[in-house]
Amino acid sequence: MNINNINHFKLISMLVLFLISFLFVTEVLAQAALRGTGDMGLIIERKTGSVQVLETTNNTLIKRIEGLGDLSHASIVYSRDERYAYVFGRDGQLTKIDLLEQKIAGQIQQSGNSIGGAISQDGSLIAVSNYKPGGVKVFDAKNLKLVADIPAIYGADKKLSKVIGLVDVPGQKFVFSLWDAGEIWVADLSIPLKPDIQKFKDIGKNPYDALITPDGRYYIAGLFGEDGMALLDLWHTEKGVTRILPNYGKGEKKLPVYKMPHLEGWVIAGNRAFVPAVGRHEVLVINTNTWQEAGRIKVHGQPIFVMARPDGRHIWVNFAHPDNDTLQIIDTESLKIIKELKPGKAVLHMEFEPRGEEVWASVRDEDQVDIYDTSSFERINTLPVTKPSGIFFTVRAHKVGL
Amino acid sequence: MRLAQLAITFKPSFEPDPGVSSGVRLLCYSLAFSLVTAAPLLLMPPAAIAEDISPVSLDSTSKARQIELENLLEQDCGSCHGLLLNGGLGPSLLPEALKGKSAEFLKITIRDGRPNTAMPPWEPLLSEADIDWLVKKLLQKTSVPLSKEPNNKLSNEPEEK
Repeated sequence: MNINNINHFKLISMLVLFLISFLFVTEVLAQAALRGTGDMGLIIERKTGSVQVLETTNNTLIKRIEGLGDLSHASIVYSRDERYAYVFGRDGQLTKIDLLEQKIAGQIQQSGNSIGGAISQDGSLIAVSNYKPGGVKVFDAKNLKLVADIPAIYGADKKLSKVIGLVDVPGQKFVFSLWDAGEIWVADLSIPLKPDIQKFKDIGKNPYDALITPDGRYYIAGLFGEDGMALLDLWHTEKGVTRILPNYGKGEKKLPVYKMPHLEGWVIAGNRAFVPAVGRHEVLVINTNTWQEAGRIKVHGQPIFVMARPDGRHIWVNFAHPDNDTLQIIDTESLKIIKELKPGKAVLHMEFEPRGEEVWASVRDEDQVDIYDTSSFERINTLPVTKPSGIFFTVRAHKVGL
Repeated sequence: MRLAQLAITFKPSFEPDPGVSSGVRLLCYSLAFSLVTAAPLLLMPPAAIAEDISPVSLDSTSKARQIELENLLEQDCGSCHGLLLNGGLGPSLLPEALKGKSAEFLKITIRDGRPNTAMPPWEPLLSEADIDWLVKKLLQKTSVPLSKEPNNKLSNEPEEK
């Protein structure tokens, strides 16, 4: 071969090598970009109208998504394929987020003021509970088009009540409570354009939140205006709503309540339910076979969230202002407080990873989220998040009521 | 591994160059080229958030306490009244909603709460001076422009802000 041929040969080889290595690297990157969403989640940044996309395998923040409106109170449900999150914002905005592309996939202004929402059993419908106008609106989960509007009309003068405690239950139904009216409604959305509604009246004064047991059978609403809780057995609605714990706290003076406790499905551990007492420094223990009080645990302050570790062995409790710098961990067998943590000012929410080895806690006034080992209680990570509040993992996609 | 193999295959055919062998040089060039083209895919620009705390010096309440009260008004009153004070479980505290209500009425409401409603008495946690400051702040506020305008689009188009 002469010199020219060798030079040509060199040039062509160089180009071929560039091309091969370029393809090799982009293929490697493409493989890295393909991921599942089972270990992902979102954190609400309540002051800046944004959410942080996170993953729990390496405990990192992936991306901040902005433009979700007023998230001063917000909650999230996930699509059945764990790809999309539906964020219910305080100002009535409903935002659909694509976790894989990490961007907003749809957004509507559906009311003036909203507190939360749910996704139907089959994943095709999104329901939102609204304060203003009081009622429930139902949307198509794919394109967010309005499917049904259920105004919470009550009383002789046909006023609208604020709606709270909205959950999905088996049978393509939604159950929710009316704060002003003291009612519980069960809406069957089997025919989405024609909701079939069953109303239970006089269930108690000012239901402030509700939960559904993990099996989807019992709907329990906490009452702010009276002692006790309202219980509806969805397998036997003909029995109506019954009052449980009717006498707890009778005669005792309630403390001023600076923040409403929140009820979520994972207050159930084994055959006991652990719920926050209203206006008391107590966690109430309920026997879920008899619905009788099975004990009271004195705690650091007024509890906001009482959450069971996925295996049910411990429950973690956070508290209302001004005692909101503390977390207490209670053993569900002995009912004793086994650990106290001081993550910092304003611990607002906790979320356990799906199998429970770690828990994430938002510490609002420290602008951080702490991650704890749930066996050793060691803090293993801290992530910088601006005014974090709710933390929601994709595992919720497959849990009734969440 | 493919690159190294190629380099080894081609090596014997080249004229020997001074210094580093052609095959290794080719390997370096191609890696550098790949990194340069791949760099944009790897970079993730961090978002910057500016925190705005603007304490209002209305009276003798200390600066530190004013910052605490500002945070309380926004976050803890905001838990029920909305972070923008435009309402939630509790009514709006914006100027339009407070029209016609005296400072005295607001002070009593904050101090003693409203029995049989969700508004608690804040007297155990706030001093007279604290409550005075909060009331002045509420009455001083202008209508709050939303920092993020609600998006009125009904759409399933992907959208990024």
